[in-house]
Amino acid sequence: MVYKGRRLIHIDLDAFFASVEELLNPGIAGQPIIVGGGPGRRGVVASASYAARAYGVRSAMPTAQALRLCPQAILIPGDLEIYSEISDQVMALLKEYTPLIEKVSIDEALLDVTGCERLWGPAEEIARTIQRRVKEELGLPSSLGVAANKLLAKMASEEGKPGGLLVVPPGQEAAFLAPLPVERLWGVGPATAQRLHALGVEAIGELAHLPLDLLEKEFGALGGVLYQRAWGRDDSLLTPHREPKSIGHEHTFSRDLTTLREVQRHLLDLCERAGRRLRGHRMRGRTITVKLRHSDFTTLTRSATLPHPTDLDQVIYDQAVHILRREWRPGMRLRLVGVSISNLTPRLPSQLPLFDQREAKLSRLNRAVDEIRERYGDGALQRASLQGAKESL
Amino acid sequence: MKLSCLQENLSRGLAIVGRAVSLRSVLPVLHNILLATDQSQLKLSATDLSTCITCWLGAKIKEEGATTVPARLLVDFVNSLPPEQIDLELVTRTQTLHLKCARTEANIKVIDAQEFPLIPTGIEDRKITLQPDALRQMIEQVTLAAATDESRPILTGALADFQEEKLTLAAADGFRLSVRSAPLSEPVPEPMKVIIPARALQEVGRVAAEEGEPVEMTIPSARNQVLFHLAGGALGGPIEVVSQLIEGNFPDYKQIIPTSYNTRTVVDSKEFLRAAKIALLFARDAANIVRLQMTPGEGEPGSLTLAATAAEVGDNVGQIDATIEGQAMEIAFNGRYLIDILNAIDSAQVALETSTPSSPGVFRPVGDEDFVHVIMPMHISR
Amino acid sequence: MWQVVGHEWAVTLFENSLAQGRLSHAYLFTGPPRIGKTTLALNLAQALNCTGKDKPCGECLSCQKTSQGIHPDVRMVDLAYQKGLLEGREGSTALGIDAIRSIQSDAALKPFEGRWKVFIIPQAENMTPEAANCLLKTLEEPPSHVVLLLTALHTDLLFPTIVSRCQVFNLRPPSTTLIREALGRRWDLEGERAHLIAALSAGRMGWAVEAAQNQALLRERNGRLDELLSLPGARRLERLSFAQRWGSQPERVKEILTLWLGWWRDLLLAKEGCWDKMENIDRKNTLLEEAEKHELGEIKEFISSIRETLHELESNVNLRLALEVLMLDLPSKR
Repeated sequence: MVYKGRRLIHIDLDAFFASVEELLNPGIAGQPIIVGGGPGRRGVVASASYAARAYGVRSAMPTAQALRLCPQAILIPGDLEIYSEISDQVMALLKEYTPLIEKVSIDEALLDVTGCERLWGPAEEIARTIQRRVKEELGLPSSLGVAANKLLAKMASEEGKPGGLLVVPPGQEAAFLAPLPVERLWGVGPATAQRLHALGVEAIGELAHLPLDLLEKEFGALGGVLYQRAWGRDDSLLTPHREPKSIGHEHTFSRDLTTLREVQRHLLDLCERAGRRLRGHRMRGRTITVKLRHSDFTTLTRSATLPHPTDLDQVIYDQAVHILRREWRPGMRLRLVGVSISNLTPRLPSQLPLFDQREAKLSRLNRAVDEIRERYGDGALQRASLQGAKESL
Repeated sequence: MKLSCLQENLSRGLAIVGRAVSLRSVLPVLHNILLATDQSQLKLSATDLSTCITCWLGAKIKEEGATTVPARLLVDFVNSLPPEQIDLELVTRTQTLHLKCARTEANIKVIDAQEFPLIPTGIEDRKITLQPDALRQMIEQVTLAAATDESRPILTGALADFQEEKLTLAAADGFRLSVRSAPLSEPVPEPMKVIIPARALQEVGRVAAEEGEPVEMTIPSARNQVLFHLAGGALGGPIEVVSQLIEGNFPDYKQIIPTSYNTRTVVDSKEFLRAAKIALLFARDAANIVRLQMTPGEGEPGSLTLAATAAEVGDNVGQIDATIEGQAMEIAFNGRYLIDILNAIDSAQVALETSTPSSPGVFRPVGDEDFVHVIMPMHISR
Repeated sequence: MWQVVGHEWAVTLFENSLAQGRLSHAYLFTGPPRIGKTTLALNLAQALNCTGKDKPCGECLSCQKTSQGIHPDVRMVDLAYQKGLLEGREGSTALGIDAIRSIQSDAALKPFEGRWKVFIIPQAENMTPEAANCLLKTLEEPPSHVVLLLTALHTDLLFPTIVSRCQVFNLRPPSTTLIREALGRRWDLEGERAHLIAALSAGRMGWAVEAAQNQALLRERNGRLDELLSLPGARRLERLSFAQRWGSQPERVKEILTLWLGWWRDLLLAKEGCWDKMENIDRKNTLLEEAEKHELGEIKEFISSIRETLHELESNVNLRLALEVLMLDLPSKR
């Protein structure tokens, strides 16, 4: 059931990275700007200004292709730290209106302003104030959607792009969606769209009027979801962002591990996963905990605390191996190995260390690997020592 | 023990040694100050087992002896007395020190002097003489880079490296490094490296600056301590600071100092300091990040721009003239570190040598070859 | 002169190590409470820094300072030490990481007066896991002038990684004969009283010394024993009120149960006719009478009940409940 009384605002910063670059360097404002990797084999567009989009440049497009479409574009490698700082400033501004905020990504957020009317006025007015303040105080253009649920608020801001503010009044949910092409509906990818077209459905309104059993027959469980969405129904709740207390991975083996070498190899894999998640959350941790479960199910956990927080695979692994070697006895049979990192702090622009310049190098390496895995999947890169480990996992 | 001395002298002496009194301590006697008669003078000593300070002052000794008295009470009591003669007498039977000055009397409970740690005194033949002003500056410039956090005890100390006619002092806290060398009046008999706690050195610097006397330094043969001796203190007797040495291997700092640079920026030290102070006001809430931008001038003077931003406070951009050799670049430092080093430089100009935004920045006072300070930048790029 | 009673093999080993200058950086002494583990550690600390000829001489300034607890290079890292660090703030009952961190920075400094810096950590099992983890760092890379002396009831109560980095001395209680001789030699205690105290101590030298110096200790033991002896004849309600009374004092209960264990073990010995191993030799007649009243199996069973209760005390059970169960297990007087 859609709870009619709910009012949600979705805010999306328009061409965020490119807008920040314009802000930092007003001389290039209005020109086609591409923020992304170099035009070498691997660079992709992270963000493109609207001037560049006019040439057909899109996010996630290989930079080389983007530059063919728009050769005069200004290519900027980008600075995630700065974008992240500015994103935090936007989030801080949003927090002034409600604590119920879900940060969807670096440039997107959902606010639940139900019940804020008496304090700030109707949701539409709050949205307008936010849009004006983000522009005036932070210099960033944004698009906002106001609706009774997450789905509609998000779709409304999308429709208003760029610089728009679209309100879906209560009761008008289905009417708002009806004329939009089905591709715009959340959860409808190219494959689903094609099958819908085959059923003669082009607009969301047509989807809403297909018999439910036909949809379920055609799409299984997704059919029911699509039907509800087509009617503008979505009662998922906001998940306000919480910082994780610890990040970790563990693995139970079908066959007990009996050699230190084997355990170390798996430990490395676990540390890399944990490190990657840590970096994904933009966190660093100080305490490394290793968990070992013996074949008789007795479990041992041992931790060690580093002098400085880290998010580096190698540092985490070194510490974990250190702990493991301390506890390892010949003849041990392990059925589970786990690693977790706690004592977490957000990764601020960090002070580089004097003695361990190795860390700075590792940091660049880790990020490069993360990026490749992000794009090509987990298997794209592996340490030589982990090759062959996957089969036994 | 029975003696008389002047209130001003005792008060001054207690202030000198009082800084070594342990605040939290494992032995009760370390909360006390040792009072002992020593060759017709009164000797005062205090220690926290890391730093010991001893001074001697003129006194009229009527009976030899020694005892220890709770520091806080003694200091507060003596400071509140009129500037007249104080008579002190140890009453062994009751283990109390009787003090009398003008019309005020007091009895303070003591702890037997036997319980006080044995503090080495006296200068040995094999000594090194250091000039007070040079020493004070050297200590200030070096110890600012020492760690205050105890997680790596060795970094709370400064390495003193004696080679022939040169003393090099180095300290690093993991993010910055200070190295300063000074010529010695005579060569050392053999090369020697010791690690001295920074806090002890700061005490030596402070005493040297206050007294303005040359400092003699000796390392007793057991090599567990270093002893600094100032012959003529204002109280008529010498002052000594003894410090326990730190055990271990100091990191190889030489390999950290870059040997080349891409950009060399020379600016007025005072202007740089002022700009850094302003930037820090804004950077305080943003991890102290101060961004430096070096822009070489084309035919005109180049510029160094300092910028800081804090979400809740606002932002600040300051620009100063600079002579820049090499290419334009941007680098970020902890503003606190910038201020620390610029405060400790007294040359008119300072040179900053940089290579990349993630490699160390080297600060050198222009015209002073003996000092170099290295700061690791803050990571701002991807 | 080594001041320890018993543990001759350990002393001989130390003497050899000292003579050859081949010392470990960490020693661990394990064994039951009050058998002289900490005394041995203190003696070793003395010997390490002794300036006399026959180490530990006990007479040089260093030895005296060590025994008085005022040697600047010998640190007793216990709860009192921790409390001193916290500047009077109420600390926990376990040795925490702050105490260990403090000895780490302390250990980095060279010795003040002596040749060695000695850190004694009595009851090392009482360390928090964080503290133990932190201590490992020092055990792994001890500064060259540092010796760590740990004591514990049993190696099982410590991280294996700590145990593996220490030279372990598993100490046994000294014999009652040795204790009786020592009482005579050093505390001028002879005859019946020395005999009784030595027997009652059951190898706990620390207790024997305390009892020799403090008359109240024996009186207290007599009172407690009388109370315990009345219990088998008491009604169920009285027994339960006993459980209620002591149920909130775990430390006291340990003492009482130990006393009781000794008593029932004596009953067993009386049953078997082994007089020379008995503890409560001042109550021989009562023991004989009581032994008659119980079956051998009954006695054995109750001994294991007491042991079990003692064991449960270590694992944070509801004390009163454990005592109540024990009271119900107690054989009634026939």
